[in-house]
Amino acid sequence: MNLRSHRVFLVSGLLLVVVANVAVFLGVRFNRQPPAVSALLLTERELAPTGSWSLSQEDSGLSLRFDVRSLPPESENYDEGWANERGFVWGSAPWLTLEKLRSLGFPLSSGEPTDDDRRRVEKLLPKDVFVVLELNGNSYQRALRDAQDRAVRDEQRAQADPNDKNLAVSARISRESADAEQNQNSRLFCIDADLDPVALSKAYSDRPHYAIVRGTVQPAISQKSGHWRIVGQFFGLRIPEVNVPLTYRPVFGASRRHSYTEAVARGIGGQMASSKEAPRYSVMVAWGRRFEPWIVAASPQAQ
Amino acid sequence: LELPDADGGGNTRQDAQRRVDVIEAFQTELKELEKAGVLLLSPAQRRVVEAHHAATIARLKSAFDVDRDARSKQLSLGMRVSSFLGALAFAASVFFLFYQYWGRLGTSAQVSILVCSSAVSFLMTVLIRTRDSTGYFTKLAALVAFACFVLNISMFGQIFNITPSDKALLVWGAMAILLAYACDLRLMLAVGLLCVLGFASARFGEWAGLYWLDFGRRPENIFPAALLILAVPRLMSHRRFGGFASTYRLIGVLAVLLPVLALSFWGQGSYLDWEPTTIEHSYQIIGFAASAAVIWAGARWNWPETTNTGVAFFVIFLFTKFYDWWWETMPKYLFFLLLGLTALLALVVLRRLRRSMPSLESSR
Repeated sequence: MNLRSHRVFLVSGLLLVVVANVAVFLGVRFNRQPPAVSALLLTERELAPTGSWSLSQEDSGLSLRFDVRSLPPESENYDEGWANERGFVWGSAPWLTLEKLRSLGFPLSSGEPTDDDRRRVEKLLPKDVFVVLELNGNSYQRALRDAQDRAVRDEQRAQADPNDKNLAVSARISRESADAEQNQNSRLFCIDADLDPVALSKAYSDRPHYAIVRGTVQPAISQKSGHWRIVGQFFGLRIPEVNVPLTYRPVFGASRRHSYTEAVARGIGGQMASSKEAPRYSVMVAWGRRFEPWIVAASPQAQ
Repeated sequence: LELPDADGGGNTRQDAQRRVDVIEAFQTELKELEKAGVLLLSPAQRRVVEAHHAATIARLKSAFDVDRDARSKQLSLGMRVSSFLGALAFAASVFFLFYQYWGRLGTSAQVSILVCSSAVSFLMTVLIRTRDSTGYFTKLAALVAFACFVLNISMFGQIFNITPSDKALLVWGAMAILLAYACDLRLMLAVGLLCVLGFASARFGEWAGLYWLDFGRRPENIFPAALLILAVPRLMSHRRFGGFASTYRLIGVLAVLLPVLALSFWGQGSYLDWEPTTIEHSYQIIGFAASAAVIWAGARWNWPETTNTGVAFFVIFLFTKFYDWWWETMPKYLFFLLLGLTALLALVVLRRLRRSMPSLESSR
């Protein structure tokens, strides 16, 4: 290699390192320019510490994973759906109607679906869209009401026939589920989607309760007793985790060396507080102009 | 095939090594000719030839660190393997070192360490490149520099919660290809081509309406990029870079045949709006035709890596079809007999193909 090509190599390589890093920083800066597009005050219920599956011992970093739920269609909740062979599809949502899926760009025919349509739907892949996250809103209230109604119903059945052990077990499980829904489960629900984030911002302008973020949806086939239909499925968020900077680490434990492993040891990482306990921390998460999240503030919550 | 020039040994280590091998073969053959009394050099002629060869070999050895004999070649192979494994281990060590401590650092420290590790490891590679005639240490340093750069960009994504982007593949590919051409490293070229292949496939997928991370779920996204990679050695001369043209061809051929193989079993993964079984059968036929075309092209232009890849895929397509057709219905002895007979048939066909090809000398 002569001197000239040596210099070209040196300059090109360093330029590549500098340009790539500057591009990333500019993107981050642009995203975090105030005001934030959305901001939600979440707790341990919605944000649980997580660790990479293979590196939990080695990884000293700490990330929090968004626990976003999707309310199943009326009377098609998880337990009943499976029990009654209703063709329950994980992540299926009542608001993801055929019309909504079409408006999101999925090529679905408007007439009675044929077997050819089914084949086409089964081939469709998830789409990147903007979704609305609702915190402690109508969807959560409905989930809570359903769980409490089920608990009351199962307890009444158990009281009516005290000798039936199965009914007693069902009543206990339903009561635990209702308690978990009251104190433990995430109150963050995905409730709508669109290709235009501005339209969503206008429709859901109550900032403390709604956030507009990137997520994925997909049509899926729900089948029961030989009959099938197309349902909409919420797949998840494009950025499902948020990194905890060192500044906020003490909130998740006294030690600055607090890691995922330590979080698990303390009973925080990988598992929620027990259903009777109050959340142990609250975190203000903002989403910026590129719909990328970051932690704005974090504080321990009074027990 | 490029042979080294009369006394220079060409531009690459491979050319220089070929030149040394030719000299060694000449010396062995000369001894045989002298023993048979066919050719006898006078002592003066012998001294001139030997001095010329010794000077040529000494020059090539100092410039390219070529192997003088078979034992030296074996040791070189060991060094190549050792340098590759060492490079992988160093790269993994850098990765785990950062993961072990990054959670204990503030964001500014994390960013500074990542940027500095990229820049410093690259500068180290440049420095080592100027002092290392063998190339083994350069390969090691280059792979570490690449690992640092990948870690730099990917960790920024994690630290700042950035949406995953296919553009990362482009900058990683650019860095790998830069290191490959500057340090004459085929391994880095292959890594760079895989990154570029991933980026281009993701772009094609995005144009077709997919989210970029799903590009692998439609293997046809890979075809355009594969064809572009195959075209590069036809459009750009790589005479100065030993083995680069063959690396392009190998990656290009694999990027065509692997998706065809996948689609021949997984019609659901195709863009085509046909019945999955129709798609699978179509890709099975395409697989046979494409492998045969690759074998032909490899034999026609004397690209051994292309021929071997084509033969391997032809056999895979054939055996998987045999399995589909006959494994359940045929007695096992008959099934394996059929496989053996097919292998024999392939040998006969390849031998005929070899005979029908013009020899290297006559084609020159």
